[in-house]
Amino acid sequence: MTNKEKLKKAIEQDINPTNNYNEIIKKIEKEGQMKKENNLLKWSLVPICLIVIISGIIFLNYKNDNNDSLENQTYIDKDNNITLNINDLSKVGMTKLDADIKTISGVNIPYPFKVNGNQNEEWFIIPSDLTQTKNYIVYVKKDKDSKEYDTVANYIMLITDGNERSIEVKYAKEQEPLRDYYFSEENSKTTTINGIDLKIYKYENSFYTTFSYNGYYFDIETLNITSQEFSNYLVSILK
Amino acid sequence: MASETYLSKFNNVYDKTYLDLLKYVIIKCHNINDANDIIQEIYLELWNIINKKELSNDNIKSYLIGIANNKIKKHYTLLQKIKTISIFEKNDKDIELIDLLEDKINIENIVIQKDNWLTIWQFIKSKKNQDIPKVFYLYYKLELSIKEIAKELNVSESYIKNLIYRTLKELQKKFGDGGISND
Repeated sequence: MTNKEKLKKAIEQDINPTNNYNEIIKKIEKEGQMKKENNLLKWSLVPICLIVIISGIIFLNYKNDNNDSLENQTYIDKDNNITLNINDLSKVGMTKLDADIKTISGVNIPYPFKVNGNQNEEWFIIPSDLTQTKNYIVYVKKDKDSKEYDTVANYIMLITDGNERSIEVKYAKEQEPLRDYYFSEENSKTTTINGIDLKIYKYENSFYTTFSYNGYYFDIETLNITSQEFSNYLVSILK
Repeated sequence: MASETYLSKFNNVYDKTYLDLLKYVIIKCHNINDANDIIQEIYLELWNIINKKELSNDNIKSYLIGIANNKIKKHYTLLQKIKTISIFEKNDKDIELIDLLEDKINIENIVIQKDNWLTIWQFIKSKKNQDIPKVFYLYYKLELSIKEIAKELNVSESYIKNLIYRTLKELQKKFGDGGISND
């Protein structure tokens, strides 16, 4: 083989039509694969987007149906003597307070509501998942110098699902129950249920209400309870 | 089935146009080392076009030349173009002397110490003046005449002869009998 032939062979080895063809086919296949994957990704995103949109709509509808139905307007039920207003506390601000107290749990506490016949909590209209009831007595010192927590400040009846949903009923005979928060009641609208005036406030995922009934001062606070569930509960106890 | 038809058409075009297109790319590119990449890019574009529209076989070659021009332009940044501009004077004074030396150094007269022509070709390709590997490709691989090469590269025949003469001389020195082959 001459030098010229050897050089020609070396050049052909380096710049080779078959090698180039194979490389091109490889790239074509790779591009095709990428296109397929892109198409798959694109079309798989469609149902995901649909699911997200539909879930969003359902969630918003659910929220509207369950949470906000009573929150944005005055609800009037003349037959049952109910005028319901819920005040949004997020617009007025709230201050938390610290109180020097002692709380005793698992004790018997006086029952503050009017009942027909036997005392039975089940006549309350409460969400079916709130199956646990816990009782507490909150004690305070008689005066600043006292070392003993010897005066009952209020009672607490906590109705809960054992997790994140609850209705906490605080009540006291002589004075309003101790609160660990303060908020302005200025310009707040009054709710009337069976002739009893009360003010209902909403803050984030909680409702608060204060009222006097059956010789007691009440503060009721809920957590993750809907406005409908809360109003049902109030109507059921304020008879 | 459709892609088989496309592939058959693509293969047909590839076989018919490859050598001419490669020659065009080698003449036009700034660095012969890029020839394989550019060729692949051109045919990849052709494949995408074939999949989208019908191409007439009559003007397929000129169509590919058009794609090649675009690909070559895109392949090189301005900096790369500046870097690869030949610093070898095309009108060296010794060109006339080379004309007189014609055939004095023939590739067949070189005795290569280690018979590794792939290394020699890599050495030729690595020359700063990329006209050298181009000329070698056109002269030894495609077997074009000096006159044809001069016309293709738009330079004088003397310049081509000069490149071949000088490079062969260098090869003789570097890879030939008694030369240094490993630097």
